[in-house]
Order: sequence, then C-alpha cells, then structure tokens
Amino acid sequence: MKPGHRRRLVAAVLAVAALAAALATSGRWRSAAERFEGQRAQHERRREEFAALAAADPVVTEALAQGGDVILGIRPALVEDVLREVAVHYLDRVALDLPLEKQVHDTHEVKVGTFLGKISAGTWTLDVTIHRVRGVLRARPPRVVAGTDNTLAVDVPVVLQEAHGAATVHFAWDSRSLASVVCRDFEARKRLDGEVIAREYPVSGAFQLSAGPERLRLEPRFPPREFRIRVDLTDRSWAEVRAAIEEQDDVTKCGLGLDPDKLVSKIRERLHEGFDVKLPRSLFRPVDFPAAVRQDVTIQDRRVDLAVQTHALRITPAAVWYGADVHTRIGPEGAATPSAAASPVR
Amino acid sequence: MTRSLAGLALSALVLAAACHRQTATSAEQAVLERRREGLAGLTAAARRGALLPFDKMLVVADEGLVRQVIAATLPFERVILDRYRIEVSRAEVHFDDGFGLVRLDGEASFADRPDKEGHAEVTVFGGLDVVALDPDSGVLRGSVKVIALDARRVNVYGLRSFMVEDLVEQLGRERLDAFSALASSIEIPVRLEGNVTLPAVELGEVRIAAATIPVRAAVADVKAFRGKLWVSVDISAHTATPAPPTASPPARPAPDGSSR
Repeated sequence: MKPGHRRRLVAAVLAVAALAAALATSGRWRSAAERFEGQRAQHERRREEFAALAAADPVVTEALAQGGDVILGIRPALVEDVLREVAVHYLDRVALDLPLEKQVHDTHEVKVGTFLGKISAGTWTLDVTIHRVRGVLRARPPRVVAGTDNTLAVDVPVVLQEAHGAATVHFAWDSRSLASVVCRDFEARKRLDGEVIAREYPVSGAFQLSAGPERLRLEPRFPPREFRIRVDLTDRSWAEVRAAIEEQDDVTKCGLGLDPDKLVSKIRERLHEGFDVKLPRSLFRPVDFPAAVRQDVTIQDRRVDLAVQTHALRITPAAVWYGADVHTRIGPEGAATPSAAASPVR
Repeated sequence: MTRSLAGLALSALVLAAACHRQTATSAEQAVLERRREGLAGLTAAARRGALLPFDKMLVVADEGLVRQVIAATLPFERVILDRYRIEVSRAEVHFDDGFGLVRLDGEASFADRPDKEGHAEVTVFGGLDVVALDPDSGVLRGSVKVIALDARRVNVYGLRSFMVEDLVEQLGRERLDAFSALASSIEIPVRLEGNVTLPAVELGEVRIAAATIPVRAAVADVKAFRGKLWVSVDISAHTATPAPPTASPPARPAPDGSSR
C-alpha cells in the first residue's frame, strides 16, 4: 500500500471510530436523558402529593399566614417557661418598703349589768396607725394563657412574707353616766412593732406583646389594684397593750367595764381585718424575649446590613407569631460592607 | 484527506457536545437526586404527622431573603486551589423538596493568566447541609456543601480556545469540596440570646436585684419546603444549670426528613 493510501485509510478509520464513539456516547446520553426526564416527572407527581400533605398541616398554614421574610413562632409553653423563670428568680426576693400611714379605727360601747339593769359604762376607741411596712415579696410560678389583643394573661400568686413595720396604737376610754362616778377617762398611746401576716395574694394582669425593630418584648400591664394586708402586733407589743389595759382594770378606774382579755381579742380581731394597700406597679418589668431578628449578617466575610420591619405580630392559641420584613441596606456604592478583607481561599 | 479530517472534526464536535451535555446533566441529576431524597423524607414525616417538630420555637426564613443577602455580596471573586480565579456574579436560593439549594453562577479562568485570554462559565450547586447556632453569638448559621459543578466553555470571538477547553476539563476533574470556599456558610438573620437579663430596680418602695436567666438553645430539626427554611429550635430558660447557648448538635435536613 502506498504511503498516501495508508494515511487516508488511517484517517478514515479514526474518523469512523470517533464518530462511533460519539454516537455511542450520544446514545447513552439519550437513554440517560430519558431516565432523567422520567425521574423528574415522577418527582413532580410526588411534589403534588407532598403539597397536599403540607397544606393540611396546621403549623405550616398558620406560619405561612403570618407573612414576612423571617417568622418566629413561639409556643405558649416557652413564654410560660420564661415568665416562670422570671417570677422564680427575679421576683423571688422583692424588697418592699411601703410608707403606708394606714389607719385602723374602731369604737365600741361597753355595757355592764348593775342592780339598775344594763347601763353604758363607756366607749372605748381604738386607732392604730401602721406607719410603714418593710417586707419581702415572693412570686410563685405564674399561669399564662393567650389573651386578646396580643396579650398573655398572667395569674401570679405573690406572697408577702417577713414583713414588719412600726405602728402607733392609741386607745381611749370615755366613761359615761354612772360609771363616770368611779371610772375616769383615760388614754394610752404606744409606739409598737407590727408584723404582716404572711399570705398569698393572687395578682392578675397581662403582658402585652410588642415588637421592636429587632425583638419581641413582653410589657407588663397590671392594673392598679388594692390588696388587703392583715397585720398583727409582735408578742412583746401585745404584752405592752395588755399591760396598759390591765393598768386600768381597777375598781377605781375602769375595771368595772373593761375585760382585758376581751379587749385585746377585739383589738387583735380588728387588726386582722387589715387594710388595703396598692402593690407598686414597678414590681413588674418588661421582659425582652431571647430571640431577635438581626440587623446584619456576614456572608463571604462581608457584613450585610439589614433593615428589619415588623410585618405581623399575633397570638393564637397555638403560638406567638412574629413576622418581620427584612431587606438589605445597599449603601451608596451599592455594595455590602466588608468586615474582613476577602482573600483568596486555597 | 480533507474529507477525512472534516469527519474527524465533526466527530470531535459531536463528542464534545455530548460531553458537555453530560456535565450539565450530571449536575442536574445530582440536584434532582437530593430533591428526590429530601422530598421522600418530607413526605414520610408529614405522613407520620411530624412534618414540623414545634415544641418550643420555630424559625422560618424565606428563600428570597437569603438570595437577597447573598446577592448583596455579589460580585465576589475567589482563587481556588491557587489555580482558578472564579468570579461569582449571580446567586439563586431555593428552599424546596426538603433541600436547601444554593446555586452560584459565574466565570472561571486560570489564576495565572489574564481573564481576557479566555474563561469558562461555571455553575456551582450547593446544598444547605447543616444548620446550627453559633455558640458565641447565638446566630443561626447554615453551612453549604458543594454537590455539583457545571463548567462550560465560552468561545472568544467565535473561536474555540484550547486553553478554555483545558480549563473546563481541569475544573471538571477537581474535587467538589475544593469549591466550597465559594459558598461555605450562610447566616440566617436570627439570633438567640444566651440569657434573659432583667435590670435591678431601686425605686424607693421597691428594690429588686438584677437577674440573669441563662437560656439554652439548640437546633433540633431543619426542613426546606414551600420556599422556606423551617428550623425547629429547642430552647429553655433555666437558672439551675447556668450555661451559654449551645450550638450542638447541629441539625441537617436528612433523607428521612428528620434532622440530626
């Protein structure tokens, strides 16, 4: 074979081989492409199946209904958890110092039996002034339920304990008629120590959910309300009261009409009825929820500033929903702010 | 001879076209495969009635937001393996079918040669693989794993360049994780604080000491569908065992629809 013919033959064989390889590859590709298209069609059918399942999921539908680029859903149990911790560890030792100047007043006519029948021996008057109460307030775990207008209704029992204060007891005896012949009027004024009877007070209010630019905040909404505080005197103070009355329990004074036991019991009863005080509103503080939508992110070593705007805030029985619209802030140069030099990565 | 050479060239062209179709199809196939796996997991979870574990907190991020955030950093350039210069100019993000897809488009050239000598078009397909809370900042962060690369030649002035052919061929041979620097992580603009801080109160009538209540948080589950990334977070506030927010274990959208 001439060299020219051989070269032509080799070139032709190579061309045919290359074409055959290409066609074989192309054929394989065609069959792979058909398989791929089949898989894609099957995938589309499965997507429709899943779409129907997802549309029936209450969490999915409720979350999507809020709208926004970022949605935070918080179960009431978590809010309750946070508020419980706040109550237990923040409101567990609230020091109160209430300048009360509260007064308890009582008066009573004393009648005694004589050979002339029952006559009025006189009238005693009691005035107790509680000057101030210092004590420790302790909150118990609260109960939280979703309320209206984006509020969480809260019932928190608080216990005022270890409370004591200063009181002035003024006791006056005004003898009447026949009794005044032998009974003289008298007055006693004692500065005494009082104490508050420990008791649990149910405090009801709400936390209003508000959305700042970044985070959720729970603002306390506790209407002013009076709570009845029942007081007592210390044993030592009672002893002083009793001594003052017994001092008058003499036939030349008023022993005719005064029974110290009865009178002490009466004073005690009256003090135990108590008086109303308002709990300071500053007791409850705003609580920032520990989840926030950030105003910047870092991508590829670059900081991207974001503008965050509340889109929706809603409380449903299922969750607290917070939706935010988030947009990138493009500077005048139209680029993100580099937070670190972008360097080649190897 | 001329006819034979022409035939050879034609065959080479057919072969080259078939090869490129293969590259593109491989990438699409890889993406479809991830979507099929993800969708199967989602469907199974939905049938079990456990599509979204939502015991404490749910964070939902829209794909448009993540796309917008990445787009704000474009264009950017990276040199990969000291050999390729890749400029990313376009980004797409899709949260669907149980799979968080990040697609980056751009141009590749040899790092040691001027770009004008020729470049290839590249598309990097990445999957949002792991979502976790950063232990220091409490920021929700996802890491992207490259699952496919499609490199296509670009003819300069209608002429084919052997350098570009070489570039496409070499890019196709590289390990996929070499390109992870193009999209290594994505931050979701949500931060979970390490504690709830309550200030001290000194208001005459009331005195309350300041309190710091530690918060523990960890990603429990991640799913992607309906154009959203759904992140279930286990979070609790407890003072008994103070600890900063933890990021472990990170969660990833898994084939069975649940996270790890």
